[in-house]
Amino acid sequence: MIDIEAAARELTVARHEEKPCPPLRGRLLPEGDVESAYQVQQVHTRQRLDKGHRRVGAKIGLTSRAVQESFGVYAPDFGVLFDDMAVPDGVEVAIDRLLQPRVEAEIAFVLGADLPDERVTTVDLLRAVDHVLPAIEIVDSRIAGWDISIVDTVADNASSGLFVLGTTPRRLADVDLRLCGMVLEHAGEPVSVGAGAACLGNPLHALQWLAATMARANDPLRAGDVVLSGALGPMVPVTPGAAYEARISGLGSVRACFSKDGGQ
Amino acid sequence: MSGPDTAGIAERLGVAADTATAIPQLAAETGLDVDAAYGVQTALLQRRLDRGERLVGLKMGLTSKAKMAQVGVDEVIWGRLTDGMRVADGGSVDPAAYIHPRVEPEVAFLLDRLPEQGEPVGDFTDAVRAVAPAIELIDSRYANFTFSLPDVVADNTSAAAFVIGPWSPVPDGLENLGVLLEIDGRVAQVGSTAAILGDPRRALDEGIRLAGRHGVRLREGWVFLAGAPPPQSRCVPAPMSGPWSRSSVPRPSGRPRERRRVPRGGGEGRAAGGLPARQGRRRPCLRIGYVVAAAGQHLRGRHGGRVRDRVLGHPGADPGGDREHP
Repeated sequence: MIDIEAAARELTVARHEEKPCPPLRGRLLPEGDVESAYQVQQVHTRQRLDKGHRRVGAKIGLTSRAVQESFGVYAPDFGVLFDDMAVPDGVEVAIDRLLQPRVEAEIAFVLGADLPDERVTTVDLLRAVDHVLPAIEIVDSRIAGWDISIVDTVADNASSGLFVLGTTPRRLADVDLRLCGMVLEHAGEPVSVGAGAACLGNPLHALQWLAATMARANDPLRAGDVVLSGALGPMVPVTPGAAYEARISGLGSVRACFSKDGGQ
Repeated sequence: MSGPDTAGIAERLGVAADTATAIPQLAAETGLDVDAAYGVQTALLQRRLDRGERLVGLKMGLTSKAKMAQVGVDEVIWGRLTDGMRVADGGSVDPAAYIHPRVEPEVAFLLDRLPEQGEPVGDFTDAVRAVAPAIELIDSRYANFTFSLPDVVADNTSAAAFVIGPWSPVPDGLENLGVLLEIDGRVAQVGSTAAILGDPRRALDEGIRLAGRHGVRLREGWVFLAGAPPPQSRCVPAPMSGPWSRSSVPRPSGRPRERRRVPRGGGEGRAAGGLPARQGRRRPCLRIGYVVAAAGQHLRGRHGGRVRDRVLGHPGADPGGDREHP
């Protein structure tokens, strides 16, 4: 039943034709076969690199216990960030670039040093992180109705879409990553609230997991990479035309705005 | 015209609390509306005052949309706090003294001088001397913790007990501080003070306004519980019921929690209906450290760490409980 190429092809078609595909699990990928799912993701990564896109970092997913429990998976996952997924703060995103977008507030780590060792410690991380930024991740799924399992989302580049970074770099020494409050607002109303601890207890834990995982895969995180930590609160479906602002205490704010309709 | 029997209703609620026995809802049956329900609440308070308790503050309830939706009502409510309800920070509470207690993380204000009659409610910082993390123990006197709006108002908004952590000066960024409720050292709920009406200070404005409608003036020196940020979607709204019992089981050391595959709420915690029996069975396990780290670097920095409120637990069954108090 394992058909890496077919799975990658369906996802690519879904992207290009702006039409989600049915879940891959049980059809092209066995349930729970995360390894094969990452191979599907790598097909996509290679395609993008071949087209000249630049890899700018990674996103971490499945960092909340709620989501882990709903998936029955007790580890995070990751996806690759490319240059054209970055949206400047507050700049309107054409809604038709996305299939079924949702937003969530996260912390972005910007690395100032490589993290080559899979036996990475907190100290390594503290030394390697140049600064942190508030971020909104615009997640999206190529799987119809977000009917995803772990293999569906991993194959689909961890359900990544676009991301917006704030522009107020802060040093780790100046923020409390665990206790910083997060509020994501739409039209002045909080639509998602949380705190740093919602991300694996501390967003640094997520970074540690990713650094070790990438080093083990012989593809370590590098200086200049952006790493999205995983959500600090529940994700929210995007309303066309809406603007979302995330504020994270100590880190500042960041905005994601969406056009009402496509055709831009 | 004869309204609902305020004294009679207050007596039923008071006895329910005193004997830790749930009663059926009574607003529908007695024709109690919200205004009359505050009258019942006053009579209920009088019962406590008659026993020698003192009124020491006010608490707000349903200060977030999520909470309103959770209980199916659509307005902010308030209740009274007496000194008899206060538990010392790190103190113990016997859960058997309550019907189906739940804990909620709260932001507490220590009130300073308040606006005189007719004076506009101006700058909040004038009215608040200090801020503290707090835990409220709520315990609806109604069966199954279900109630209508007049029911919950009459029941003093389910108030049962409260714990106040160390006071700090009003911190910057009070409108968006992370709030963590930990149970046995594990994070059980994550939220932000932003969930309290967008800014917990607004709860004070609401409290002054709504209590004023019923002739209650907030006073200098009172404690004001601004409300509980709602937990994230999954996080149990009721750490002391249902899933709480599982959370309270000490984890075998070295066993990573990521490996626990029992679906939350699907285990024995939900099946058991009666708390007393379960408490009996789990008595040795009632070693619970409810910790609220209400918030950010300011509160933490000044006190060099989290507040450990050991609200629950049987004295003597808590060999590790004093670790935080060397």
